Amino acid sequence: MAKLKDLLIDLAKVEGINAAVVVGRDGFVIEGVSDNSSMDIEAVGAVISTGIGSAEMMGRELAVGVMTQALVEYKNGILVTSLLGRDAVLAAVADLSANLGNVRYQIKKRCPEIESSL
Amino acid sequence: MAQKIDVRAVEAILYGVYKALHGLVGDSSAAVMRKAAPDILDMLSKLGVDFSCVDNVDKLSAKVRETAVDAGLCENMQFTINGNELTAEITQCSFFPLTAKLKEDGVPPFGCPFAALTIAISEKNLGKRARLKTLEPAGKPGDTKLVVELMDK
Repeated sequence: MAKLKDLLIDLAKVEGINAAVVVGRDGFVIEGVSDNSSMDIEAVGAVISTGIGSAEMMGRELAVGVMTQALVEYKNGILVTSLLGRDAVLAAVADLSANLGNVRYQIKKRCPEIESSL
Repeated sequence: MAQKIDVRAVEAILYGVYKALHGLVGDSSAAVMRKAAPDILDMLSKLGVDFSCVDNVDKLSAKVRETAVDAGLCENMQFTINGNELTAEITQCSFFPLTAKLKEDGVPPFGCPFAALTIAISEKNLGKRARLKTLEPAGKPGDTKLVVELMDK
């Protein structure tokens, strides 16, 4: 998993991104990095997995196809999640001031390599 | 208060809850069980089934087996450890008809209580990280084999 950790560290270096975590669909935290000491990465696995599961099911019910990426804006940050194949999810937390286009692009670009490192 | 519950009522309730969960979060429904397992352990403890004595794989095996068999969840449960893989062979799982019905309706067996308890105790009492690797039918209908991977934190 050393390669995965390195890839997440690189992702977290993108301006505006301050945490990146890969979780299994079963909620198991596979790897994560964060520059926010108050964020408990181990605790977020099940929440991230079920969040993306719920978004997927919304897409299915609305007949808008397979989910590729989800972006949720909160008062103090932005969460971007992407599927890594069938079994895992990548989630990144970004600042509200981050360049969202770049954040989304960087995540989309890096997903295949992150997925292949699993 | 009534002390006996008809198993059919429990099956019907679980069927509805499991199917709804799968309908709401799809392939992520296994994460719900990971989240629920520590609370199941806490509740069992409050009801007098205490796992606090478990501090190694042998004790985990004995205690989970004893709890599952005494509660009528299965006829037997046999653990073996091979490296970092903990295998449990479950004989005549009481949830088999429910699992079969759910599978028939497109819902995978994400709510396996044996896997959930094994993972939760491994993480809480053994200080390990634990993840279900495989869960599959084995032997006669109702027999199941599950493999949990144990990792150092």
